[in-house]
This record gives sequence, structure tokens and C-alpha cells, in this order.
Amino acid sequence: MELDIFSLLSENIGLFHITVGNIVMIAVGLLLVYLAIKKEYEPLILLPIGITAVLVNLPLQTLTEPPYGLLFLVKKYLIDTEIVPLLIFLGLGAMTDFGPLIANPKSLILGAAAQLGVFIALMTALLLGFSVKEAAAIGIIGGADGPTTIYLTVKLAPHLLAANAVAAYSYMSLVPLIQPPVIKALTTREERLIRMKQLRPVSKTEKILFPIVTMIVVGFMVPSAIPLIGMIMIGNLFRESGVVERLSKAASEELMNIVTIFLGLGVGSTMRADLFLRPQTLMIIGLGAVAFATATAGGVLFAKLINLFSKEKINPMIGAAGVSAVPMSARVVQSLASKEDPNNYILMHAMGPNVAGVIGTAVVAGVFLSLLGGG
Amino acid sequence: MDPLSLYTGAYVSLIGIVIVFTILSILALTIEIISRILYRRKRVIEAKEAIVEAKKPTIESRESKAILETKATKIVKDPDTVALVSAAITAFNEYKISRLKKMPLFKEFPGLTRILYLAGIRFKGKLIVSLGGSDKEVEVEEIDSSTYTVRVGGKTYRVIARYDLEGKPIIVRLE
Repeated sequence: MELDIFSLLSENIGLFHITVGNIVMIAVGLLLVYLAIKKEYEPLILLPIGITAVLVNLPLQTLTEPPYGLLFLVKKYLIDTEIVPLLIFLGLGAMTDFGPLIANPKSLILGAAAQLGVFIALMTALLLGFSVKEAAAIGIIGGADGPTTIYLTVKLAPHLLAANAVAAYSYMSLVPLIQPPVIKALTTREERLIRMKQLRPVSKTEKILFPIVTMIVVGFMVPSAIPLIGMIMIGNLFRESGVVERLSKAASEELMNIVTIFLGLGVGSTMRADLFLRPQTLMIIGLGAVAFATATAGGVLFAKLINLFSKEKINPMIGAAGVSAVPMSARVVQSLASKEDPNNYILMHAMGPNVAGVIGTAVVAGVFLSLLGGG
Repeated sequence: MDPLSLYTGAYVSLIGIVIVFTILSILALTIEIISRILYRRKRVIEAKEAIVEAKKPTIESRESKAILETKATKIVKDPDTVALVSAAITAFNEYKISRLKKMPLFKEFPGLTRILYLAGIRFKGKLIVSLGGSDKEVEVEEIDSSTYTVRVGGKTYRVIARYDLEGKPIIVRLE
């Protein structure tokens, strides 16, 4: 038997198989890891995505290979089947307090207005040559809701999953940089100084009725949104009922942590150089910025519109919190308000549109699925 | 860039905007109505508790008497006042309904005029009521479908009314 040492080395040592694409993607993965650790940008999701991106770009790795590669199985059975995004919604529901929204139902309209960014990004994506389904999946990034973005992308344009997920989560972490200039450009100092009346207390009965009513109302109108809305409202009912504390804790902590790991692994596994390094990806990253900026503008402008017809003025900055990056955008709004007037507390008012944005984005995703068909 | 895709995108966007605003508005209205119903019930329970508290005979101290005096309300039984207030509420309601019925929605569903207060819409009006040969200026303000505040001759009355089969108010309490 003749042993060809050189051919053995070339076949089995990864270094001989590395491509420029792999090197670029390893750099991208390491950048995400850096941002997660050093800058603490959405570390829970960007860290697993980033390190998995490094892993899957190591030559000759078999983790993404069918039929038994671990990452292949995670993606096929947990991401492609939408199990993970839906379970994340269950956990989000168990973590979310809809009280500020119930105390001021007008917030829901601001949550709807901030969805404007989704539609502007959709039209821009179409102008750049994306198909309608791809454009809808890209547009939903403007909703600033990672699980919804992943859910819709898997249904409408699975080949864009990695780019969309990375864009969504990266921009969510960049909300403190994207939103302030847009808000300042669209509001006057007087508007930013507007103080709002303290929100009324919300009773337990209202908090219990809210998830049930929302599930039924949205379910009747947009059945395609039922999976997302249904899961978040079940989680919220666990929380508000007060009788299943164990389930609520499991959904918001243990389950949430587990599915977040799987989400990071699953999305990261799609960041292989051959799938990710395309001109499309750069365009999606750019469109994500357009989506976030226009969503912010939509919310602020609609709040100003409400002020034209309302006796009781609202601080238009809270409209910006309609992008559902919870609670980041509400915090951004509070920090801007504090800069103008250190005694102006509008955080709870901003939390209303903030959580309304989650419902709004889920409804928009449902509309896209109804009109464009998924899977 | 495909014109058909652009057309489809514009169509999807338009429908999407309409649906998201419609659903979230319906949801906002539903939450508001539920909250008002719950708070109204809470207020009624609180009022009942206050009446029960006021009727308790065991409270004897000076402070507690003062509380009783502020909580207890005097029921008006003077037939002329009852007749005047009753006429004022009837006229107020007739005028309100005749104005609202000019709108197609209320023409179709007249019952809606009685639940507008649930959406925070309340009516208020000044009327001249002729009763027994004299004209009096009366101000009526609707609190909810069966409760009114009536101001006449410098006095303010709180009225709880029920309606007969013809829709005319029967005053059940005038304080």
C-alpha cells in the first residue's frame, strides 16, 4: 500500500481548504463577538451567532452537514420549523408588562405608526431588485423585532435568514445611535420638553383580560398572526394570572435561555461564506438602517399629528418607541427627555408604544403571510 | 426592477397599513371600553360601600359625624323641582338624539347614542324649560346613560334616571 503523505495532508488539514470567503466570515464572526463582549450589543444573541459564524467557516467542519451535523439538525428542526422564534415569543410574553399600554391605549396607534418603516423598507428593497417576498422579509427588520424577523424570513425568504437576523439584531443594538438624530431632527425643543400626566394604575383584572382580548381580536382579523400573537399572549397570561408562577418563570427564564442558545446556533450556522457573502447581504444591512430610521420617523410624526387634534399634548418622542426594540427605544426616549429636562419622566409613557410595536410588527408579519403566502 | 413586483409591493403596503391601523385601533377601543366598564363597576361598588358606611349607626365621634355629613346626600322630593328636572332631561335627550340621528350611523343604530359615554363622549347643554307658565334656564350635563348633573337657579342636582318603554326618563333619585 502506498501512502501519499501530501495528499493525506491536503485532504485532512483545514488550512489547505480555506478560502478568502471563509477568512472574511471568520472576521465578521469575530467582529460580532467583539461587539457583544466589549460593547455589550445584544450579547445574548450576537455572541452565539458570532462564534457560530466563526465555527461554520472553519474548513472541513461537519457540523452543518446533513444528515446528522448538530447545527444542521438545530436549523432544520428548530429554526426552519419556526419552533424557536415562537417559543421566544412565549418567553417575551412572560417577561412583558403591558400595563403602560393598558393605561394609555392610544399607545397602540403609535405602535402602528412606527410600522411605516417596514413598508418604506419593503418598497426600497423592491426598487433595489429584490422579489416581493424577499422585500417583505427585509422590510420587517424595521419592526425591530428579532423573533418576528426570523419567523417571517423563514417563511418567505429562507435564503436571507442570516443576513436578516444579523441586520435585525445589530440594528436593535444600535438603536441608541440611530434614533436620537432622527428624533431631534423631527422635533422642536418645546416638543421634547412636553411633560405628560402620570399614567393611571392598572388593575389585575385588566392585565388578565388584555392577553385574552388581544389574542381574540387579532386572531379574528389576521389569522396568520395567531402563532406570534398567540404565543406572546399565552406567555403574558402566565405572568399576569399570578397562579402559575412556575410556568411564568420557566417561560421567561429557563425556556427563554435555552431557545436563545438554539436561535444563536441556528442563525449562526447559516453564516457560511458561500451563503452570506453576496451583494444582497450588504444591501440588506443598508436597508435595515433605512427601516429603523423611517420607523422612528413614522412614530414621531404620527405623535405630532395626534397633538394637532388632541387637547392633552403628548411628547412626540414617545412615538419613536413604537419600534419594538423593547425596552431599548423607550430608554433612548427617556434619556433624550432627561437631557432637555432632568425632571421629565416619560419612560412609562414610552413603554406603551414600545410594547404596542411588538403587537404591530406581529400583525404586519401576519398580513404579509396572508397576502404573499409562506413556506 | 419589475413593475408587477412594485405594484404588488405597493398593494401589500397599502393593505398592510390599513389593517395594522384598523386592528390596533379596534384593540385600543376595546381596551378603553373594558377599562371604563371595570372602573365604573369599581366606582359603583365604592359608592355603595360609602352609603353603607354612612348608614352605620354606631359611629358617634365628632369626626365621624363630619364624614357622614359630607357623604350623605339629601334626596329632593319637591314635586315642582322633580317635574322641572324631568322635563329638562327629556328635552335634552330629544335634542341630543335629533342631532345625532342626522348621522347615518346613529340613524341606523339609535341605541349607540346611549353608549357614547363609554368612548369618553359626553354631552352638555343649556335649555330654557317652560313649566307652569314660567321659563327657567337649565343646564344639563350627561355623566353616563342614566346619570345627569342638572343646574337650575344656582342649585346643582345629581339625577339618576331610568327610562320607560317610550324612552322618557323616570327619575329614581334626585339629590
